[in-house]
Order: sequence, then C-alpha cells, then structure tokens
Amino acid sequence: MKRHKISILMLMICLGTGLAHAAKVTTTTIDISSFADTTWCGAPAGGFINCSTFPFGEQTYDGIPFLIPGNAQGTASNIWAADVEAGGASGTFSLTVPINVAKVKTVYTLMNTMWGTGESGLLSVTFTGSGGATWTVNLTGNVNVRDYNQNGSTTNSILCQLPGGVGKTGTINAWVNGDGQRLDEQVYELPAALAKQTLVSMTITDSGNAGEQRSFLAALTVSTLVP
Amino acid sequence: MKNRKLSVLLLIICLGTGLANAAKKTISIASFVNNSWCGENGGLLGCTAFPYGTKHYDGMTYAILGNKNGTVDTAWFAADAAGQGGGTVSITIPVNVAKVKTVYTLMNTEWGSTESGLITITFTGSGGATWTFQLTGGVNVRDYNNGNYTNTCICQLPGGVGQSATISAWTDSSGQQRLDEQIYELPAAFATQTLESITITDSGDENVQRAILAAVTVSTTGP
Repeated sequence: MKRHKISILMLMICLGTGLAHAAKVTTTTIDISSFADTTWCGAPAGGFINCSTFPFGEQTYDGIPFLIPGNAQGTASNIWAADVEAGGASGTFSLTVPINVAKVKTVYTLMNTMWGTGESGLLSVTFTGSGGATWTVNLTGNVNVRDYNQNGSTTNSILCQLPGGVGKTGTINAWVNGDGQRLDEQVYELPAALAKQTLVSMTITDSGNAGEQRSFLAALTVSTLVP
Repeated sequence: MKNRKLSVLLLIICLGTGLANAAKKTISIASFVNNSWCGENGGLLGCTAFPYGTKHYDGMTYAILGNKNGTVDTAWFAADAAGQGGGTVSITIPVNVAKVKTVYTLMNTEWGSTESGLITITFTGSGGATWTFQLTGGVNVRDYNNGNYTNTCICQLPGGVGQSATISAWTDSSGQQRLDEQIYELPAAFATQTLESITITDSGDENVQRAILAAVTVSTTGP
C-alpha cells in the first residue's frame, strides 16, 4: 500500500511537472514603445539607409519572438536611439526599461549602432534583480554589436556565438535585408543569482558620439529558459 | 492491485517520456576519422590548439576524437578520403536515434569556395523521410583558417523546420583558426521516425574546397 501511494505521488509530480512545462510561457516580449524616440525613416540624418525595408511589429528571429515598435504608416517610433537622446552631440545617455519578470535566465535584445568602433567602454547593459543582484556587460563593437550598415570603415563583425554558460553573452545575426543593412541579436545568459530573482529592469548606457558610435535598441525579449 | 500496476506503468511511461524529451546524444564518428589535426596535409595551421575530447559550444555537447599527443585520428577529412585529388567522396554515419528534431555538426573546410553543390548532407529516416541540404562556402561553412578563402557564415539559428544555419563554435586565442557549428532543424516528418543516418558528400578538390567533419550531436528538442 505504501509503495502504491509513493507511485501515485511520483506519478502526480511527474505529470504535473510535464504539464507545467508544456503550459508555461517561457518567453515574454517587453514593449519598449514608450521609450522609442524615432522611426527607421526619421531622425537622425533623414533615416536609416534603405529604411523602408526595416521590420516592425511581431517578428521571430533565431526562434525567438520580438516586438519591434512601429506601424505600417511609419508614423510611430520604432527604436530608442542614443544619438536622438543626445541631439547629435556627445555625452552619456541611458535608458532603463522595466521588465518585472521572475526567474529570467536569458535576455535577448535587437541592438546595433549607428557608426561603430572597436573601442571598449562606450556602451554597457546592466541587469537589475529584485533581490539586489546586478550584472553589467560592456558591449564592444566588432564583438558584441555592429554598425547596422555594412561598410568598410566601421564595425562589421560579431562573435557569432551563443553564450557558453551563465554570466556570459553572445551575439548572432537576427535580420538582414540583403542590401547591406542588418539587426543583431545579443543573447545574455544571466548569472545564477539573477535567475533566482525577478528581473526588475535593464539599463543601457551609451557614452559614444555622433560619427563615432551610438547605439539603438529595437526590441527586448526575456526567457525563463537557457538559450 | 490493478490500480497499483496501472499507476506504476503510467509512472514509467511518464518518466521515460521526460527522459526521452531531454535527449541530446553525441554520435561517434570513430569509424570514419582518417587523420589528426596535426597530421592532415602536413598539419592544419595552428593544429596544436585544436580541441579534442568532450566540449561544449553554444550550449551543445560534442565528442571530438583525438588525444593530447595528436597521435589519434580526430576528424574526417574529405581531402584524405580523396587521396589529395579530385572526385566525389562520401561517408554515411549511422545515427539510429528516434524523434530527432535537430542535428548539430562541427564542420569546416580546407580552402573554401562559394560555389554551390560542392558539399551536401543528407538525413535519412526509418520511415522513408530524407532531407538533403547543400552547404555553400561563405554561408553555411567557412575555411577553418581565417585567410584567403571563405571567412563569412550566415551567423544565425534556423528559423524553423526544414532550415539550417551556422554559427561559430570554437576559435583559437588568436581568432585565426576556427570550427563552425551547423544546425539543422529537420523537416517535420523526421519527428515521428528514427533518424537512421547522415550522409556527407564532398565533390570538391585540392586548393578548391574539402570538408572537415569533427563531430555530430543530435537532439530531440528544437535549437
């Protein structure tokens, strides 16, 4: 009788775990539209090269869903652009995006730069947990992020890898239009401490300059699974 | 008593299903390797830094043959299979794993060409499903050495079933030598069959392009 009860109990746990796994929403797209400050075809400098080909709305890249702000008319802003915040000048500008999702293991961003440099220290991302855990990643051009436009004079390479474990990051390609423009996907596998807390926010800090490097964020998605 | 047997049976099925769902399996290519990193063609550039043993790249586990002394064959080199000449060579690797959704390979080339049709990979299922994918240099596979041949790859994950993509797996400390990871998300038909084998066919030539296969891993989950 005792074994019977144990079997029943284990069966319930097994089925419960399986159902929970099947039913659980593992990825959450974070709406950044309230922070978006320009459109693909708007500022700065009259819009991105081949701006009309750039994506908006619900998109899936590398198997991950993303929500890029914007509309078909091109009247709604698509991205947060550091250069717009800076008014085309130098200085440090930051954006803190509220997330408030529990047990996040992986964060995905669609981020590129206008212009680009291999100099470190110009761009960082900080993740903040509800229990006080923080993790700051310095993003370097040609490693973690590229100029959105393929050209010979700025940044045209990325790691092209997924993170190798917790507390690591990787970057792969998300979108290309075939005309030399692209969006990169940064993949952040959060440190173990953050994965046990609620991910409260992500802060982007940009210390670049016009003509040097300025970041833009097009989308943010979090997942409770590893990459 | 009947209820007890039923619950035990259901428990076994439930646990079995759970374990099966978690399956990632490295596939032995020991029967096909034909040279070592430092033996092939006088030795690959930077050959002593190349990996062997159990490795984890991009969250996936690989079993690369070889040893510290470089005396054990490590990979299948199409150039060796062809006797350092022209012609088509191929290998068929037995897999025999059920419900495979994703196949991962560590493959690069000696030299490199953007000409299509020089390398193909064919997946064969127990129920008759087959899928042949053509790998193109500069898109799906790169020269192992960052030099004058193919130095770009698509740098993406597959976007769905019946698609393939390539990202970087390993680079040496200088960034000069590398191993690429090809990811194949099999067509839906394979999800209900046993993946019996993988066939790699190389129709390149010396100083044009020849494939190098270092490892194969299969998974019953998506990329």
